[in-house]
Amino acid sequence: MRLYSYDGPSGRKIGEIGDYTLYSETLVREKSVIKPYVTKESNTAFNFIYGPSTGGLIESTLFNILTTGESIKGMTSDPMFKLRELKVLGKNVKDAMPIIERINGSFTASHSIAFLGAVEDAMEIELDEYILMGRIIELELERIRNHLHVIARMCEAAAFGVPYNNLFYMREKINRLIEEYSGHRFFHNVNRIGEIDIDLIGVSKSLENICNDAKNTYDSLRDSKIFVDRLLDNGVVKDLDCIGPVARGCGYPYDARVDSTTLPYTELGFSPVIEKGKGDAMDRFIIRFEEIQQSTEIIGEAEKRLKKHTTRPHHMENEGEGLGRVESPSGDLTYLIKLNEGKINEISMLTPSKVNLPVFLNSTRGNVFTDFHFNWESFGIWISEIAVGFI
Amino acid sequence: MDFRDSGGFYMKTNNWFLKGLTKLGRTEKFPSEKFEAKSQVNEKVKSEKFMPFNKSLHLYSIDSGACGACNMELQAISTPHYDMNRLGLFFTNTPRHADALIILGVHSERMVEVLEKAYNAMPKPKLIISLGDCALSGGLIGECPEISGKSVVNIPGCPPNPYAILEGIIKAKEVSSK
Ligand code: SF4
Repeated sequence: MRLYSYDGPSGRKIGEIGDYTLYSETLVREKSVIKPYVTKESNTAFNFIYGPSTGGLIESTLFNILTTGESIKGMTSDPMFKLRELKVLGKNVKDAMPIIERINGSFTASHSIAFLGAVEDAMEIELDEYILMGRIIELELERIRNHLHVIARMCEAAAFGVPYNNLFYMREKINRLIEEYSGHRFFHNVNRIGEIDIDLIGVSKSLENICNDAKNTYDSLRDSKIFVDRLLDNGVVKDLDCIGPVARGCGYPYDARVDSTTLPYTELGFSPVIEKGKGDAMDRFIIRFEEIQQSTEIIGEAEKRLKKHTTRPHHMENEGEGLGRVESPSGDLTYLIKLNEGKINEISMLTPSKVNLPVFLNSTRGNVFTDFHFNWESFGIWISEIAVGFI
Repeated sequence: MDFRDSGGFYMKTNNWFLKGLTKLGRTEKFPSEKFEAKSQVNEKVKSEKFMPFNKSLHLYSIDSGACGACNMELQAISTPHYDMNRLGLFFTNTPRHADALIILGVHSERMVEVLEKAYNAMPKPKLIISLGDCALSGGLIGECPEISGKSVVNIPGCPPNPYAILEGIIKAKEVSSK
């Protein structure tokens, strides 16, 4: 492992990965203690079960809501209904890759790049600039698509048909752009060890209009008192244990793009956008729109540095341990793997959805039922990367 | 258009709602010429039943163990490029109002009962559609849900794109009504 070491806590705490807790600089052999969620006793409260299957949620998951009728007194969740056990142990990296790409369909680029980052760390592979910049562009395109999706879902919760359709129209344009450049709408089969199979020259030009349309929709939504009222004070996060846009919405500059050196974001002049508000759904909404603009700029800068592809790395170790970290659209995403004779011997993963789910549950206390969807969507949690195990 | 005209009616020209309506993206014509239909009719199920869905079809989807991409592509058929409503297709929020159950994802132990309960709660006539490689064969991930054997139409792809999904759903509607 070239970039991380087993040591005491150093840097910000990110979350649990396998038997360890990951900090931004070290791996610590301790289990991350998830704070138990305590609800106050109430004589009149009853449990309302929402899920696991409902038209209001995109994925299957269950929420158990303690309520007195309108206000939410507390909430627990059971995200494991759709548990998938993925057969990757004992496989070589090439065979495992299509499975890793299918852990979370909306974050395929993030998962495959974080996984390959760990593999390349274990194999001690150096990457050329074309690959590094290409991977940055992939990640930022995925971020733009995801943020459009999240904000559109928030508009859907408000029954705001016009911005909802506008945003999904833009998301579809991004999907088509990704398909045009990579051959697949979800970046399947693009990333390989020490390689990428995608020619991204010209992509930033194609993004300009989408970015302007997003800016107009943002201005309009911020002008809408009805919409803003649904987000203000909804799902206030006071928890330091959050990551990604949720943390940046609370004013914490937590971002793997600055504290992971796997990809050279800082060379592109990157620094995280933060919002020093209350840490509510409104702040997460603002962060996501601002990050759409920022990602467009990053793509422009990275494209300037895309030089023609050099050759494949020839030096590859067959054994070793590696850690790969990227900032997925919802936050830090990390893989820790051990390779033995080129096969995966051990693998563990830290996903932003798993870290942020307890934070979401805590943030619902004191809200009312109708706040639920705005808050849930604003977190951008994907159950597919929680209800998953490796065998 | 100046909104100050028309009998003293005044509305801010920067009104987001009107701007959005006039600028909203257009729905596309179904690309029949270049589209290769891939959905497969399950002849066994089809010949067993007659289900008259001549007009609209209301859809309820269940994620049994999907990665999320099939979920996104299914949801995309309601967005402006595809506009499922023009074809008489609608999502419903409960199986009680559904004509068709759409299954996404692989078999997962705890979703078996959920799928069965939802199917039993649907009024007759009703049909099942399997969407994506996971739901129709288990794909690269696992096994398919047992109930997907009752599908009238299978829509392959990982994930199938929104046009392939529309084509498959329309086919399910047509073959069931014959
Ligand atoms: S078929 Fe492919 S896209 Fe659909 S749920 Fe399975 S892995 Fe995901």
